[in-house]
Amino acid sequence: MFDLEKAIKDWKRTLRKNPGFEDGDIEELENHLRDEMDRLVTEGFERKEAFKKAGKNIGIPAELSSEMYKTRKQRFYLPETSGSGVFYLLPSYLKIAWRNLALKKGFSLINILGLSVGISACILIGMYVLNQLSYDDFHKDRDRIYRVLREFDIPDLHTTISHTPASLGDALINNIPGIESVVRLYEADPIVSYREKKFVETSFILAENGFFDLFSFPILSGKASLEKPNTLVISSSKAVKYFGGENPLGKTLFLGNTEFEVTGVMADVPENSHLKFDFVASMDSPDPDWGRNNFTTYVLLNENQEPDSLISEINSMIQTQTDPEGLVDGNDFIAHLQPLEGIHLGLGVSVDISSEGNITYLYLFIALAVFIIILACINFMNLATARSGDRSREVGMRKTLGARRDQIAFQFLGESILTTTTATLFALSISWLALPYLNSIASTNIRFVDFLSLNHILSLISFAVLIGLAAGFYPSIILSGFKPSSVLKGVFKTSQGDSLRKSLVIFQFTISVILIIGTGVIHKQLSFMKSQGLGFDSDHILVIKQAGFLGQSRTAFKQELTSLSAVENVASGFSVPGTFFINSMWSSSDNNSTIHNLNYSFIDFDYINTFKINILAGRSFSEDFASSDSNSVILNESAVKEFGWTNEDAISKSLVQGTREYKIVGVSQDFHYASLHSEVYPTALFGPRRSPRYFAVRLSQESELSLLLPQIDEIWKRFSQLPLEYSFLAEDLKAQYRSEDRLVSVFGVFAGLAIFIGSLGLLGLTAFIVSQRTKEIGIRKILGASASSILQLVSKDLIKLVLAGFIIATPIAWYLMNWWLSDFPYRVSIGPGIFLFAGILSISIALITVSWLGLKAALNNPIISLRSE
Amino acid sequence: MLSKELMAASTRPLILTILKRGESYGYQIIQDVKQLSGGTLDWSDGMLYPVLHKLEKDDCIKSRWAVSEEGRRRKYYSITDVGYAELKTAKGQWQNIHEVLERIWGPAPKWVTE
Repeated sequence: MFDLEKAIKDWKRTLRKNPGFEDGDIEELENHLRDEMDRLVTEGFERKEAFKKAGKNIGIPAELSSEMYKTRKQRFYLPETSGSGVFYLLPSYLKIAWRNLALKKGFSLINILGLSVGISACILIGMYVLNQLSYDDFHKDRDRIYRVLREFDIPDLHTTISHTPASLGDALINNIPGIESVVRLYEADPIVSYREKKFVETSFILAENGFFDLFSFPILSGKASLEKPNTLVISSSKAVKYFGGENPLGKTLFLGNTEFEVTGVMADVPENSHLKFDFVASMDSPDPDWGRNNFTTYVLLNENQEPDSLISEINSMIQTQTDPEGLVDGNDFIAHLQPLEGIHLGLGVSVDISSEGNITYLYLFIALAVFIIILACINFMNLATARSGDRSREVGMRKTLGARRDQIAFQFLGESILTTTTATLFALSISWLALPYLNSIASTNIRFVDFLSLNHILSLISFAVLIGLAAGFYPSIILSGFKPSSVLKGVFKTSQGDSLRKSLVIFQFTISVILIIGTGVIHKQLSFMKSQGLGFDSDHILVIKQAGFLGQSRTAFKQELTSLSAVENVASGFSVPGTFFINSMWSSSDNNSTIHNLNYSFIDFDYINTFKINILAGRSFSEDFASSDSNSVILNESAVKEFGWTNEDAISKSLVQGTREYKIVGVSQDFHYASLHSEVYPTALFGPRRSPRYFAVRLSQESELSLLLPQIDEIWKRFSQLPLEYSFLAEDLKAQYRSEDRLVSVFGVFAGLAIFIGSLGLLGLTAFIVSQRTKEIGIRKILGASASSILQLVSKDLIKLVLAGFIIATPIAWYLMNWWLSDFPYRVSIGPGIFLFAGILSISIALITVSWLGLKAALNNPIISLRSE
Repeated sequence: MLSKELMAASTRPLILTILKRGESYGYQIIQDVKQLSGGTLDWSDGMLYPVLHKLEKDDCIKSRWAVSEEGRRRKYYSITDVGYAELKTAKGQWQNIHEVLERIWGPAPKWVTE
């Protein structure tokens, strides 16, 4: 049966082989053919006959093509002046570039795919970096706002904190003329209630009146002022939480038992603010106090006031002011001014200060993005130089016709810019798709639309052009340097850049292997920290917060809980593992005792038992000693060592602070109540002198949570109007390693990308080698070579390069990861396993990549390969 | 059969004349030419297209793609002002040549028939 559509398709294919036809020509001719056929069929011809006749009428394709070509030639006129000619040749360059892309679909795909992935990694990292750098940039006076830090530099204690005493603020405004205004903040977590609604609010600050003058948080309605006592400004989302649709202005909220009037509603605090709060309440001037560091102090400097010149003035002022209070010595309070915009990343001061953002990780991310884009550019360069032979005739021809070297170089640079620009467009869509993933690992809330400003788009375009220049630079030099006489004679061989190409492949795999090893080591350390024995049993412990608000009824609450069958034990304490311990200086009852810095907290009689902490000497707290134990203390081993005692010595001694003495009744084994980022700190656990903040409930292993939790909730409701807030200790402790979790995902992703891009490059190079050696492979096969020997022939060199990359990567990765691990007091040894894994992984991925094309070549019918060209 | 040179010279005015009557497409133009010439002008069909493209490049005609009644995408050509001008010139030239040839060939002189 005659298949007309197929016949027409074949006929079109014949036409397409002739170079004279352009887009549209063939379609026009096809229509002609069909019209003519229609006519012939109505005249009574068979369809097959009609097709043949119509085709014959149209003419011989080659002749037609040459006629078509003639009508088009002379389209470009060489310039009459001796200008660069670039603009006249631009259409030709574009056309050639496009044809090259379209002709070598595989290579183009590898180039564009690799570059897209690399560029989108850069875009995402760029978004992240911009987000991190944008913190607090919305304040009008941001250049003049500083936060005062306090550095301690005394024996036993070297640290810097962002909290300062109440009196600092007054002293600064009264004595330092370079300071225009001061605002002190106090963080609180009060119970806020409106009618029957009652919640503990943790994003709550108290601030002095100048707060809204200093910072530029936008107000939606009402007044941005805390001038009147007992007033507050509330965020719009919390206003909805408490007042629903009602107008919040003028309403009264209870903070504990005190009434506060809502005088303003502000927009929710932007994501990129280091201060995060939903309520800001007016605060009376705090009482003079140089002792406790309870406040955050912000200052506004006078216009053009340099902060550095103020520091010594401030520090000597602090000396004179605090002298009567009798501080240890001058190094107890060294003030620093941290610029507002440096707060998020912990920048702008010479001391380490804890910060929410992490500048090291930011640098690391940037470095990774740069590496990925380099890897992608390397692919481009390698494939371009490797394939330069294909283009040598074109270059020879252009040069013969008068092209200068710079024109040729311009042409190839233009082509690479075209490729990178295309890749950038793809990259934009990839990064759009991948943005939610970035947001989840970096816990940011970046939106794509925010990124699409004119500035960013312009810089993205310049970035694409820059990458195009970087990637195209080397190939364009190589290609434009061809001598027409030799390339046109055909004695040309593409050995240029061979060793460079090899070293670039080695570099790619070095980076990949380092990233794989890095991922492995971070993962190993992370799982080690998460699974390490902590010195107490953190499983099956439910932590209930807000214990302090139960007041006297907490004993009854505790009893009710203990009576539940699924509950083994209940304890309460001022701190539980993973939460805040107080820190202070202590001396002992020894004569001439030195002072030592200890963490401390307050625990009840069931605490040691509930957490299953081992007592090494003495005893645990107990109801039997209820009257004396609230003034007793249990030290951990580190604290005992700190004082230079043995465990048994310690039992007879006391801790001393001022005039008070606390008898040491027991020594506990060190237990990791803080994350394994730090060593166990010398710690004292006092009896229940202070009201607890937490309950710790040890559940029996068989307890059914879905039944138990409602029971606990029901009991809680009997004692408190607040909602029950609880968490599981084991999960809370794991959350301490979020930053490592993040790091391992980022490393994993980048290792994957690096391997992916490297493999794409290998794939391209294999394809190139195979295409160059098609004939050789054919002849070898005819002479009896086996498929495996041919595979070996094709892949041996490339696999060697991967192996070299691995060998170079090993010591670098070992060094880098040891450096990373050295920050951890408890760390894994890297071990040969990870190196082995990385080696096997990278080599097998390379082998699979190379074999895929290599095998295809090896299994090809030699007749076909020898007939090619 | 016409000589190649004469063909080449006459195609342009022929096409322009046909297009002067209204927009048309390649196949139709060829059919018109065949019909008008009564079969004496026998082109290889495909050869019309290079001429059309050349005319278009010289701005004598312009083209657009449109979907025909049968649902086929066709390239329609129509004459432009430049085309009119060229046609006018060509017409004048052809008529001159025609007149000269007529005059020369006229009624045959006696000495030829004898």
